[in-house]
Amino acid sequence: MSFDYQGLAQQFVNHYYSQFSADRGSLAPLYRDHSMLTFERDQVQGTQAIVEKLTSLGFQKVQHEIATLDAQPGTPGNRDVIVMVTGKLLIDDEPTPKGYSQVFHLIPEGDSYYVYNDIFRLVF
Amino acid sequence: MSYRGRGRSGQNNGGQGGMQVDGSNNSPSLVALDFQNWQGGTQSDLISFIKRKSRITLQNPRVNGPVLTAFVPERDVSIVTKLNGIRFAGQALQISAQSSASTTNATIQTVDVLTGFLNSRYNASAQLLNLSNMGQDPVLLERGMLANPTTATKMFMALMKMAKDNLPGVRSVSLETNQLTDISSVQSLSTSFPNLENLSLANNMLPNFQALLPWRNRFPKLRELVIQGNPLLNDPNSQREIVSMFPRLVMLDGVTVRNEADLPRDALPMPVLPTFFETPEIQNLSQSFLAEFLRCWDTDRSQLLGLYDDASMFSMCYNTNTPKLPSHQPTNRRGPNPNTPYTSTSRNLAFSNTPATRNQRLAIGRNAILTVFQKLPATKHDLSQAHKFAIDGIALNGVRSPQDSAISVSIHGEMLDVTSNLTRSFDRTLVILPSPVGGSFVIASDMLTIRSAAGSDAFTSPRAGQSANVTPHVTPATTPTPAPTGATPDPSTAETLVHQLMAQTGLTLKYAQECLQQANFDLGLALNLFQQSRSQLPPDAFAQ
Repeated sequence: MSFDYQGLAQQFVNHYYSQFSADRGSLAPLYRDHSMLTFERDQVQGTQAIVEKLTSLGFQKVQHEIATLDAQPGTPGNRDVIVMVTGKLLIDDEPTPKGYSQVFHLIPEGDSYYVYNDIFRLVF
Repeated sequence: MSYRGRGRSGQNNGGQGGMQVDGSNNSPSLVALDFQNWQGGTQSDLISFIKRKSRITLQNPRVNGPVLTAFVPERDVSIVTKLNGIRFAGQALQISAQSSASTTNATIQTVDVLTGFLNSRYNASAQLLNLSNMGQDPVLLERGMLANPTTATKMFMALMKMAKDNLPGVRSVSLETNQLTDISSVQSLSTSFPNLENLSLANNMLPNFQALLPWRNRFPKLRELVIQGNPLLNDPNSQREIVSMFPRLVMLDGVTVRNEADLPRDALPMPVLPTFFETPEIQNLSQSFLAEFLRCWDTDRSQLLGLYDDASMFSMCYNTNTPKLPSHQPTNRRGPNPNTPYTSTSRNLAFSNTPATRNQRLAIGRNAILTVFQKLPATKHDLSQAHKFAIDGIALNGVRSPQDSAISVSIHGEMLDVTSNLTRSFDRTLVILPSPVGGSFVIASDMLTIRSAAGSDAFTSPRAGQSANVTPHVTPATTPTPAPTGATPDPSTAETLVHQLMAQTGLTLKYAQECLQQANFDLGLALNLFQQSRSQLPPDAFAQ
């Protein structure tokens, strides 16, 4: 593999989840207008709609604890990356974390990447 | 197509003859009564008047010139006709039963005519429904059932509805020589017989392959198609395009277009709820694909090799750190045993595997992939337990080349690890491309995560079940009252919902029904689905 998609995947999820905990509104630069978020059964497209969806989720404090992280280079030579995460979601003062599974499809743009698809499921 | 549970309401029925195909066989036969000299009052005055005088409600009234025709059950005819001559709104009302030849309810006549027609056209031993040259059928002609495109379409929809109920064995349909310039009038064929294997459209007037697009991926089992004698064959691209519309098409006009042995085996029926699919096509494809995929995964993984090529990738992760839920019984929820076969293949980038290990555990190409597949323990996925699975399927373009139209399918669910006899949960994401050589599919990316069993509560009660708990995904503004998962309301409620959705979206009946089905008949959710997928809907999804 000619580029470090593994390192990219790690950097990306660390950044994404720390921003998610700090301020979901700050995730906007990671999406584009053709990006798609599939959150449980809801699907929204576009930066604005996605950020609205994420910021409207009914909790205040949230923390992702990554259990597994895997990544594959998507298209040969295209430098896009598919990232799959499973882990625990710690929400507000809930004593019991929830299991979740999330897939990101990251597309290169200049020197950085944006999220083309983001598919989230609670799996308990 | 649901025609049930809705008597003709009459108000806007312009007297086109009854195309009503509900369960009228169980109701008493209706007799048509003609009323004259009633115009001193209104139609509803007349109906209330008759009801007051006879306690009988006139059904399906319609006005034709000076005559108002309405129906009553046969046993009530004499009671109403006794009122003949009674004063109504200043005149002597004339009431007469129509002559015996036409006294039977037109609806029942229509049903009888269509039933007779169907039976005369069905060859049970060949399982062939021959609907060729309907325009020359004396019975249909006489009844004016093909008088104009609208009546012809209605007739065909009714015919298909009846055929579905009465001729479940149909495997082949001929629509030859019907002067079809498009398939709009016969499109309901795919609703009634989605599992059709042979279809002839020979000797019609279909102008181009686009005319067949409404049936794209609608016949997942169609094996043979005949289109000779249509102008569309003038376009050299037509055949290729048509082959791509029917995933299992093997013969086109008698020519082999795919190698049958290369096709994936028949898909198992697998209702999956609750799930989201961008379009019905993706839903069809995802569900049938996954059903077949998991069946092979359970029985013989080498059968899956044809789905991978030299650029395909597979990797798996073993999640040893899943939340323990107090609500779950401890049986079978032991933490994963660190010495399972999973650990030697797990490629968890969140742990500090060496770069060499990480690269080595990404299987690239079908041989490497099969080697890993064979290492993983034998499994059993019980797809009949639909509630234990959740699937998301979304369109993904330009995966390997800009023209690709791929889908990304994520499935979450449970399986039995046969080796250890433990139930485990898994997540799997597949990027599926139509094969460049046609016919089959290629899995470009395959990522699997195995976890200890987590149950299926997250899927079975995606909204309601969490109300007492956390609700991370609920936004009151956009989430309507949850419908019980998988519940189908009674036909009349369903129909009301379908009509509400049609009114609010402009969708056709068929699309509105599909949308509601995907939304578990939750109108709010259906509207959300509609908004989300609106831009991808074909023009024929909308009425007019």
